[in-house]
Order: sequence, then structure tokens, then C-alpha cells
Amino acid sequence: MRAAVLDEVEILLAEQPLLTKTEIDGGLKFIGKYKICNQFENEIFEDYFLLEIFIPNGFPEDIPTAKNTDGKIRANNYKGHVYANGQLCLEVDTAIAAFLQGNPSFLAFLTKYLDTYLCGFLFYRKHKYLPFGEHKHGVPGLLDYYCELFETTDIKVAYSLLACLFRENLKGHIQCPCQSGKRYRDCHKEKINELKASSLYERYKDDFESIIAELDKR
Amino acid sequence: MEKILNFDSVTEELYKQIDITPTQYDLAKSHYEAVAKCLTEGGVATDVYTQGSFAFGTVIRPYREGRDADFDIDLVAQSSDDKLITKPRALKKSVGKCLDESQYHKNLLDRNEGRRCWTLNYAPKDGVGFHMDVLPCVHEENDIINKIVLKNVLPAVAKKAIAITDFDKEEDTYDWSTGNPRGLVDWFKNINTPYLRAVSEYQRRALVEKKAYASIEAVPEPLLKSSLQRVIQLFKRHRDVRFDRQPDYAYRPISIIITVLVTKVAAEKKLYNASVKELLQAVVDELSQYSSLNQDFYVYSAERLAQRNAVIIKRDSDGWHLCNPVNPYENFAERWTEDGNARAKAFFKWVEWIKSDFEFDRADSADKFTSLQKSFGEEVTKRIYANLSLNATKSVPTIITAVNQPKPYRR
Repeated sequence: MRAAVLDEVEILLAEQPLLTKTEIDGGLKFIGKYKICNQFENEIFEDYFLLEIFIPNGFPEDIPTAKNTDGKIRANNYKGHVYANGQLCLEVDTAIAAFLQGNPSFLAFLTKYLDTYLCGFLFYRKHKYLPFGEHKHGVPGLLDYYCELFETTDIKVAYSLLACLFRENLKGHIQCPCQSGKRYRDCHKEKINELKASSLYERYKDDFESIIAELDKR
Repeated sequence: MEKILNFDSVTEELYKQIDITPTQYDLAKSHYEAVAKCLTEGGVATDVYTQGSFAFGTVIRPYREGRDADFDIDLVAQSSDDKLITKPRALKKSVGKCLDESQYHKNLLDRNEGRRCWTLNYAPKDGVGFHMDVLPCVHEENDIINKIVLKNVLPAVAKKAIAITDFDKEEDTYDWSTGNPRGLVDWFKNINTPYLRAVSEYQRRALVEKKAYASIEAVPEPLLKSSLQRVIQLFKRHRDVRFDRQPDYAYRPISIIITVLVTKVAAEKKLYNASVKELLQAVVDELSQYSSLNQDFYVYSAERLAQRNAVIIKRDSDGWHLCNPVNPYENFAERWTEDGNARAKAFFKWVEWIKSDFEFDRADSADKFTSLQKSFGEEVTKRIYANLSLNATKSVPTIITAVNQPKPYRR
């Protein structure tokens, strides 16, 4: 594990004295009570959660995960946003990986994803709606994410643009798949090439394969 | 000092204090099995089973005179004798005699005969003792069961009715009265099952992860608690502490009333996925509707409630009505009119208390310690405070804005 991450671990343990660190195969685990204290609009959300946070050795390329261990957050009280084993559904993995690419900090991950998720849970419990929105479960949620990435509301467009990542020799003079009417080289070519060159390429590919597998089923 | 004093943190600590531990549960079970063995071998009972909170899974550590007290367990000792040829005096005495002749139980037996029970007192072990009430009875006669069936109770449930001996100490006479503890447990379990299903997998997994049990299947059901069972436990504890050493102690709401009312509301609302807090709120809202019955000119309120089909508690010129769901002839609120409606007054006073005493999240209550102590007892409150300040880290809230935040996503 990188030295910068180990420094962050010390800060985390000082800030969250009720967490204990355990070294396991494949990474580090933090088990215990995790405190959040956030203000959203005019309300303060402050509480402890029993968690098991895992940082893989491959961080930041491999993304951390968090589990709730006492059943406080359940599929039936948080709109299904937790797996059966208690793992929290923080975001689309690719979105987290993209964040960590520009910001390879474990503490930044906790603030951005974990605290917001837990605060969202407390907010939901009180007001019965999610303050920051949610993605649909499964492939429709992945398509949501790609709509955001390509800044479109049309999932067909998002799908076509994503598909471009896996096509060889796409000619610059064709119509751009985003249906803007512009030529590809004057429109999305640059964005697609950027994504193709990105270290997240394998993740895009996996997502695309899941989407295709789902479409085949239908 | 920064602390989080909210519903979850307070109740989590309360459960630890009021729940029976697995060890105590096993001990209680062994006491009960020994009594069952003694009575069946002595030929005075053929069927011995638990009733009341033990059977409902809502048992709590009793609280008296400012301290946690011994657990109460209620046992039914049912004989296979025919009621029509059995004298209640003979049945009651035979059970007492059987316990008295048992080498082990004679030292535990309270010679002071109860109205319906014999009581065994077990010496405290590790600071916790037990009182066991043994209720002699026979199967109820068919005429009475048929009458109950005519009041819209399912025959399969009504058939479980028993005839209980009733001892009048002043007159030294014995009579029969009807009860149906088993039917009531069936009724409760039926309503509790979907509530339990919503939490059982998580609670089982948690116990397995704590290494208390080897597999999910090995976790015994009595250790699981639905939100419905939790609300009943919290209400009973709150009642015990609030009425402790008060002038109206004798009029406090009895456990069976609390259990039946909460269960009836839970059956109606079907809030299977609600948290304990949400279910508690729903029950309080429902019960406070009835407080208008507790006034001199209640007739208008009674009519309005009936129109809204709110009939869990009724009042008319005969008095108060809160029926046993498996025996409509039994009215739990029969004595509410006595002493100038003292029990009704105490009940609605208690409903008002629960309305305010469970608001732990409210930021404005200046003296939370005193208020918690008044509601749940000193020991628990001290423990809650000790735990929270131990855990407290200085906190300044981090502000979150709505834009560009992650959205929960599940594959």
C-alpha cells in the first residue's frame, strides 16, 4: 500500500477513535463505530454507524468498500441501496474509480462517498426521499451514469457513444452518434479518445459488456 | 460536551438493560422444564407451557423501587381431567401438593396461595432471580367454547381455551374462570410474523458474525426481536419506571393491555418495514386519538371514534371496553371505571408521557439527563451517558450541498 495512504490511515484512526484497524489478505479493514456529523440545508445529521470499511492493496485503482454490520441500514429501509451482506451501495463503481483517478485520497473517498451516503440515509429516514437522488438498480442505473458522463438525457445516445469506445477505425467524417448532426471529428471524437486512453478503460468495457448482456436477455 | 443522544443510541442501551440475556434465558428454561417434569411425573398436569411475555418474546427486566428486579415467568399447568367432573379446589390443591412434595421445589414454593397461581421464588444467581407463577387449569368445556365461537373467534383458536381456578381468600371458595393464553400467543405470533420476517435475516447474521452462533439456522427465534416486540418492551419499561413509587402505581396500565393495544395497532397499520421509532410513533398517534374518551362528556367522542372505525378502546354507559381478541367475554378494561376511572386516567396520562418522553432527538430539551432518568431509570441513564461521552469526539458539522453528490447505486 502506498505511503500516502498509510498516512491517511493514521489520520482516520485519530478522527474516528472507535474504529480498529486490522490487516487482512488483500488490504486493510477498519471495524467499529464510525461517526458522521454533516449539515445539509438547515439540519444537522449526526450519528454513529457500525461499519466495516475495506481499503484494497490496489487502492486507488481498486476501490474501497463499506459494510454496515448491525442491520441498521437495510434494503427494506433504504430503498434497496444495500446488498444482502450489508455492503453499502455507494455509487456506480466506475464513477468512484473516476473520482479516485483525479483525487487518489482515501479520506476524500470517505467524505465524498461514505459520509454523503450515511447522511443521505439519515435524511431519508426522516423525510422519506433521497436528498441527492439515486441511480436505478442494475443496468438501467449504469445507463443513468453514462447519460451523466456524456451529458445527455437519452439513454440510446449514451449507449451509442459508449459503444464507440470499442470500435476500431471510426471515421472522422461520419455523423456523430450523439445525433447532433455534426461530424464525429467535430463533436464527440475527442471525448471518446480521451476515455479510450483512460486507465478506466477496462471498467468502461466491463460496464458495456453488462449492458449488452442485459440487452441480449430482453 | 458533544454527545449524540438520539433514539437509536438511547434504545440500544435500553435493550441491553431490559433484555433477558441468552444465559438467563437458558436458566429460565431449565427452571421451567424442571417444573414441567415435576408436575407431569406427579400426574397433576399433562401439558405445561409458558404464557404471557415469555411466550410473546416481550419479556423485560422488571423495575421496582428504583432498581432492576427479578424476572417473572408465567407457566400454565394444564391437566387432562374433564372440567365437568373436576373441582377447582381439588385441582389447585393437587398442584400445590405436588410442588410441595418435590424435594427441589418445596423450598422455592411460596405457601401463601395466590388467587389463581402458585408462586416459586428462585434465589438470585449473578444478581438476577426469577419468580415463576404456575397456573393450574383444565380444558374449557364445550358450551363455553361454542359461545366464544359465536362471537367470531376462529374455532381452532377458541378450542384452546382453558378453565382456570379462581380462589376467593375471604370466603374460602373456589370457582372457574375462562382464559386462553395459547390462543392469545397464536394471535400475537400471527401478527408478529411479517414484522419478524423483516428483521430476522439481519439479526441472525449479526449474531453469527459476533460468533454467538455457528450458522444462521442455529440462532433461536426467541433471541430475534421485531419492531413490534421492541415497542412493547420499551413501553413496558417506560411504564414501570414512570409509575414506580407513584400514588397511582396500583392503577398503572397492565402489561396485557399494553401488549394487546400495540399489537392491534400494528395489525392494522401493517408497517412491516418501519423502524422501531416509526412504529412507536404510529402507535402513540393512534392511542392518543382515544384520549377524548377520558372526559365527562365522552358520548360525542365515542360516536365520532366509532364513525371513524376507531374501536380499539370503547366507552359506553357500561364502562370501558378493551376485549381479549381470543375471548370477547374477557374485558381487560373491566376495572377501569373503579375509583372514579382511576385506571383510565392513569392510562391516558401514560400515553401523554410516551408522546414526549421518546423525543430524544429534540435539540431544545435542556435537561435530558433528568428526563431520561425519569423515563427509563437511573442505572440505564448513567450507562447511556457513560457510553456516549466515552465515544464522543469533538464534532463540527461538515456542510454538504445538494449539487454533484454521489447517488446510491446497486448492481
